[in-house]
Amino acid sequence: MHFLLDPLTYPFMIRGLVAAMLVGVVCSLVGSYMVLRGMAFLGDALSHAILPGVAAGYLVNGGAGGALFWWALAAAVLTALGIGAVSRGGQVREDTAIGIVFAGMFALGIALISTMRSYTVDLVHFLFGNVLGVTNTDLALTAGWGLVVVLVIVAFYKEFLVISFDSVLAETLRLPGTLLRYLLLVLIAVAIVVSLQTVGIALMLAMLVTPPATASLLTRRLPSMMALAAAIGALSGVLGLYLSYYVSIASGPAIVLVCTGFFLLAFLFAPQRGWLWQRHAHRASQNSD
Amino acid sequence: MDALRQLPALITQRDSHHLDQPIVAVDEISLRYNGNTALDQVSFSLITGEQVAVVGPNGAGKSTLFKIIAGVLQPTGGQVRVYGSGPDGHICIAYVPQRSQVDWQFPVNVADVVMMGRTRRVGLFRRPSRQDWRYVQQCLEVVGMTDLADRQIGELSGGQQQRVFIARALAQEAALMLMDEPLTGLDVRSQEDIFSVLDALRGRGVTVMIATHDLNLAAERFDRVLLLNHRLLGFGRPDVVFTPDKLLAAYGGHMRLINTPSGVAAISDSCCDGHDGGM
Repeated sequence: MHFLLDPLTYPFMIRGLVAAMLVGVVCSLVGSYMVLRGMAFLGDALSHAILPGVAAGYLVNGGAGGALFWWALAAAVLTALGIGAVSRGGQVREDTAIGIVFAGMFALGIALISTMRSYTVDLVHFLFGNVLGVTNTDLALTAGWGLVVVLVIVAFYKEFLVISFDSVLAETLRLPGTLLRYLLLVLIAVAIVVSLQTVGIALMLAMLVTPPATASLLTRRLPSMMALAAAIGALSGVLGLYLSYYVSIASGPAIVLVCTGFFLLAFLFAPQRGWLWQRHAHRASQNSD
Repeated sequence: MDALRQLPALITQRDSHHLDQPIVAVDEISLRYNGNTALDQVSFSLITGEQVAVVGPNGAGKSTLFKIIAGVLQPTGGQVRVYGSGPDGHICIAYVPQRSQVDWQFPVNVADVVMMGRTRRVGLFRRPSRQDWRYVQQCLEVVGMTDLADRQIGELSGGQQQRVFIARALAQEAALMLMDEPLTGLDVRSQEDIFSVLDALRGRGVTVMIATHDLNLAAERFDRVLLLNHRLLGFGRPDVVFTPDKLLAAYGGHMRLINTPSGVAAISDSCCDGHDGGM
């Protein structure tokens, strides 16, 4: 019991745990659509591309957390819309367009940060998160915006499902496909900004993609996949923080490592879709020949 | 901003049907891009309730034609009228995709896929009601798949997969169904299952266009056939359209014509490119 309760005597630890759970849930819900739509690279690009926003906010306002949030949000939404617009033109392939925007924005962000005196410390916090530095203001913003993301996903669940599964059906049903795709991009952007402090830019993709990918190996319907992904995300947040507390490793990587561990377990041992099962089935079919 | 222009589409009423107009009237549509011509001045119109087979070699523009009729692609010339107005105002047109175009690993079961057809009927911010689920059950009954409603779609046979998508078109309450090669890659029994579903659709007055490679099935089972190779080469009763010169015009070197006692037999060897699979 002490093992579990000891860390909770620190208020920063409690705030960190709440933040990590919120982030786990929000990222997993948004990430489920990303996994199904093959948007992993785009998610990675989007999270890196908010760096200049964060850096600009830092330069203008100093370290005040609330202000940073809005700068990051503006950068993320602008990048999401920018990538959407560039790739729609058709002159440049979509993944190329994403790569260009991604690297360019990231370079701009690092250039801005390199003008600061506390260059390395700040950069490390942006890149890898600082979940134990979460303030009550941060927590309120995370919870509030996280709730907005969840509500929008619930509201447009079936429309997002249709555009993800069959875009031609979406068009014959005259659903506003472009609008829905931009909305999804903006949701991803918000989820990334909400998670910035917990896992940081460099490891963001893991929170978005790994829990849904794990859940997809274990479930057969989207609602259960989303629910399981959210549970895995939240649990990884909690376990990761405990791991970081007791083993003294950075909290962001600890959370991501737990996520990855869950994925490996599912990848190896999942019924039917796991490696072990498939190997067994393969053997069985060979024997029966 | 394209995205914002779509905003009203979530709430606006659909165009009404002018029943004195044909269900589909295609008027000189062309699609040209980068110097290629996918479709060249194709014109025809359909009678409500008829079933038409669209025949032509690979790359003849069959899918393109369907997508233009469905309002998914815009032609570069000409126009399509569905009951007297443009197709993009209608939600009664269903496109049944080729099986190779579907992600069968997607985490949805049979009933989920069929319910997708009802997305607009259910309406924004609403969950499907008990009536909607009952409607889905009825659609599955028509295609004979009620007992498989809970299956993940990847666990179905090819014929069953095809029938799920026809059930989805029914759930959409489609008056016009455009089926892209539903018979390709199916064994004879599964093809017969599809034909009995088509008979059920005939009973419901649904107008159907089917793209197919199989000239024999097209000739035997359909009221009218439409021979396409970028241009419309013939449209009418099979014995009028499937003449040696028209078939040769459509298939060129890919077609063997053999004189048999009962008439001319045509053998097409254009049916088996890689992505169709399973042939």
